[in-house]
Amino acid sequence: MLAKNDAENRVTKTVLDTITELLHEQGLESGGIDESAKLVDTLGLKSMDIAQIVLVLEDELDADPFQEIPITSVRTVGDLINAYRVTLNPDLLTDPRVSLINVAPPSPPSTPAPPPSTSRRPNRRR
Amino acid sequence: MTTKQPDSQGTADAPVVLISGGSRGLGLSLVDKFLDMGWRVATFSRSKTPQIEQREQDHGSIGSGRFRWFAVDGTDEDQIRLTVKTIVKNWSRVDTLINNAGAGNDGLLALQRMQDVDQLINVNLRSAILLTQLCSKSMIKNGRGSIVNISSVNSVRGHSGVAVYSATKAALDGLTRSLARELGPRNIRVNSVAPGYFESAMVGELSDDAKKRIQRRTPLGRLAQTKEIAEAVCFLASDQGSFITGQVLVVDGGLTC
Repeated sequence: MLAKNDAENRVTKTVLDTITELLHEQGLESGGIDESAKLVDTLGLKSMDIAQIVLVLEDELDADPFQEIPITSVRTVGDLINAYRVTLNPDLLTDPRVSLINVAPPSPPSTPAPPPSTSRRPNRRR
Repeated sequence: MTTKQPDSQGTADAPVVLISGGSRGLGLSLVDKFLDMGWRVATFSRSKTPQIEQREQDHGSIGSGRFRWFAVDGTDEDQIRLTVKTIVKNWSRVDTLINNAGAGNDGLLALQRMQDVDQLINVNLRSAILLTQLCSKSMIKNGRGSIVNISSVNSVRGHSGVAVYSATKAALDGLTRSLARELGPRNIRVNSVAPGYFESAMVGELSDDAKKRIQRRTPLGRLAQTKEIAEAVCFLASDQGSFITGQVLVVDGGLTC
């Protein structure tokens, strides 16, 4: 049990460290990240930042959960940690304490936004 | 001239290029061009040619030299994954990817077997997308890179008998433009080179009359030499093209102008 806890703690620490390092690189606020923090809305990460985190974690943890779990189901730091915990320890899928698993279906394709040059915005400069 | 040359310490810092389909034709010219520029070059094809054996003798194997060839069927996803993983493991990164491997398949669409259509899409498009996905991971981590997709004039002009081939090449150009936007913020450039007719196995199958007709319609009055196409690819792949991304460079002697 202790070994399992050690492994889960290592996953949590590795994910948090990786996010912190990238936030630092991007010049974003990195203090006091907790698992409820939303990757985009709270931390200000962009989709390519999240991709970079996943690529680093693939090396660090030797796992890529997102061949199975849709990345769109990951909203918070806790979701990201749980994705790796479940991939590295599939027994957790039956653990009611693990909440992510929220393996949401992929979002429907979004309608492409019109290019900026064709979108009309109200002219606020008068 | 900002193209990187081999450093005085050896090859450990030399840029790494992966060229699909490098055993002959344009792919082989690209292998030679990048080796001449001092890069570390990896390539793959289904079977080894005498030219590849010669490069292996001249430039050694991975770990000690600058050239590595892999026996890979371009439609085999597992083999492609393993190849990219081996290159990254041994050379630590991929700086440049050139999606060169391709096949042709002439004939009226109405008479083509769907299995042949699928094969062409797999070789010309799906394997290029997979290679791009795998190599872009290394590039994103390193914060730099370049990708060149070998397209065709058939992607910009219609020609009877090559509808599926044209579709795969036009799809590559679409991949080029969207990926340029997606990867640009990570300092990764993506471009296409669309060659016209040049001395290659595909053109070798044309009749003499067909070749003469092409030459008549080409403002420069001749077919390209393979090395002329390779020069354009190297320009976009290397730092010489450092502010160019999302473009399709047509290299056809003016055929489509």
